[in-house]
Amino acid sequence: MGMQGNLRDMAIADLIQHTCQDRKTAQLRVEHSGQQAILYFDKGNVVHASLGDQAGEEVIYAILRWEEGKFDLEGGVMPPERTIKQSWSGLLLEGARRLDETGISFFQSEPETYLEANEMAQKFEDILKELGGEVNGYLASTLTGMDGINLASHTKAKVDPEAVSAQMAMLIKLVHTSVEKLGAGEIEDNLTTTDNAYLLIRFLPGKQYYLGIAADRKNGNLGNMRLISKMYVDRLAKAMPR
Amino acid sequence: MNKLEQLIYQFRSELGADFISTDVVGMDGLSIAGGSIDPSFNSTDASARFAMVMKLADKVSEKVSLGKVDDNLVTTDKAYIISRFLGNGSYYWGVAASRNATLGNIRMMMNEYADQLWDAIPR
Repeated sequence: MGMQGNLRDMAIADLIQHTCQDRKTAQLRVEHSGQQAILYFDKGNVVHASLGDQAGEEVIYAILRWEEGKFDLEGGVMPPERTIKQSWSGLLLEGARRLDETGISFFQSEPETYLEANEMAQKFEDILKELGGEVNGYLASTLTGMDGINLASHTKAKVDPEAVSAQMAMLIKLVHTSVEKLGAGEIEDNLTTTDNAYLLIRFLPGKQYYLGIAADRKNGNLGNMRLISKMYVDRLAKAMPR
Repeated sequence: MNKLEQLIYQFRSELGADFISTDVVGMDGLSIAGGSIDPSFNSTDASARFAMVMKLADKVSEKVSLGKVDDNLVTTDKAYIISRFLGNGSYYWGVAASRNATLGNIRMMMNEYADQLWDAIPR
């Protein structure tokens, strides 16, 4: 994955938000007026930033006001160290507060967008956490777009939500196409039984997103899973922005 | 009628009015026995398509370390489509039944017939 561009077209805050929401591991180099800042992302968190001799959160706050300059985002680059512990949304919030004091806005898109996106992701995760409490033998759940990008996930087991989301998206797409071509009706859900687990995929209304649930086979109950999934797709759909 | 076809016929009769289609399919997507009573349900097409689904389901399950796939159930507003690996996984058994069917019953019946079907496949 690599992307180059100009800050005129994409603000630093937008770059941080999108890279984090996509849960990427990456390096972002930004040049402005002879200075170069380097940011490191690890699985969707900003973990290190440097600008000359400076490192850490203050670098983020300093560069958020840059409106001109080039950027180069390169995927898969591991951070050399970790100087930032704050969440990406916390960094942007604090950055916005500081800029607010100076009357500058750092977003090219609507200023509330990243807050809304973060609140929405949190809302989905809260719903998935509740769902987890109701499914027998619960292992993990995910809310994912049909592009395979994970919007929110909740896991109790050692499951990589990103990998699971992408794989399940491929499966439900193939099932959906197959059912459509056969004229076998409108798909409601797909349930895969393995020797260790049950894996249920159910579309949200509109079929742009799906809810995936994994439960342990020994303790799971198919009827319970299907019923709970029906209830929660409605809740998740209602929580979607209009 | 060979043994495999006899078993298919028996299963079909037990399922009764809810039966739409059933096939025993190689993982090359070609059916070796079975068929559909519903002219609008193309069982040849279904066999090939769900061979792909089973292959992908198995690959997905392996990638996320959830074990080997036993079966895959698709629920639509018109039908249940159940695909189940037989024996060593070189064949799968597909069943399509109407939404009026009792899903638990179908799965139980498939459990009963699966080993018999595997044994009846010519090898």
